[in-house]
Amino acid sequence: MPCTEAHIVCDKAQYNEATLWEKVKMTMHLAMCKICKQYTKNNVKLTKLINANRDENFQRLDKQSKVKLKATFDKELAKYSNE
Amino acid sequence: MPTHKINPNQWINLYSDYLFNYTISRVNDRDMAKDIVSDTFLAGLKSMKNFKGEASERTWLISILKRKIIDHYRKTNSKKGKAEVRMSYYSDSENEGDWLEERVADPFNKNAEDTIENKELALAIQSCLSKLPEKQATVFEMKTILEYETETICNELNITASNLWVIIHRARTAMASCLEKNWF
Repeated sequence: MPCTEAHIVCDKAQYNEATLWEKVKMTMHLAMCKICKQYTKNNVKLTKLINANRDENFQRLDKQSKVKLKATFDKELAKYSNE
Repeated sequence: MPTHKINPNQWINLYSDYLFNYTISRVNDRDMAKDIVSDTFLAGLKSMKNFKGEASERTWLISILKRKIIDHYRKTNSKKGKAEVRMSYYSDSENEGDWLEERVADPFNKNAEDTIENKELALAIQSCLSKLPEKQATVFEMKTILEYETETICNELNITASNLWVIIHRARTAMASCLEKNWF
């Protein structure tokens, strides 16, 4: 596995989207490649930072308000699609 | 320059959380923020034909939102003089009050240092994000902060999955080195 591929698999792994086979190949690559090892380390750190920040600061609309918003919006949207 | 298309059917799904988060960090009142977001979407519908496709849909909606937030400030500001007279302090519930002090976030509900650190981190992330090229920023944010499925993003932005991962990779590399300088 070349480094570029290892990087991408490492990125995918940050979102839990790497397949088992990809992870096995990446682990083997990491065992012998210092650069990718460093990249992985930084990448994991970045994920942790972002996650900590998101959980702390990102505010979502609650489901109920979203449904309400969508209903209001769709009603208005219907007027426009009829034109 | 690629032009962007407008598709209001997806607006609520794609942008409502983002707009809401953007608003609440500036308005600090959930109900007010909801109203502003709703207003923004409706205003967007109304001026759909003015959308030139120069910026992405999201950027365009944000520019409308910014104006709505300014309008909101203007309105509350003109009410300021009346606030002392109109005392609805214990009117509907214990927590609701019109006093300004009541409205600001409680500084003691968390360890002060934690809060400061979190705020700084948030700022660092925001400033690093704003340095990314727009496409990278959009994809990275949708994927990492808003946690959309890969498939949703691909459909929405009309890119392939491998395309997406390359963009993500570039964004992550840039974010890591930017945060390294400012944070780690």
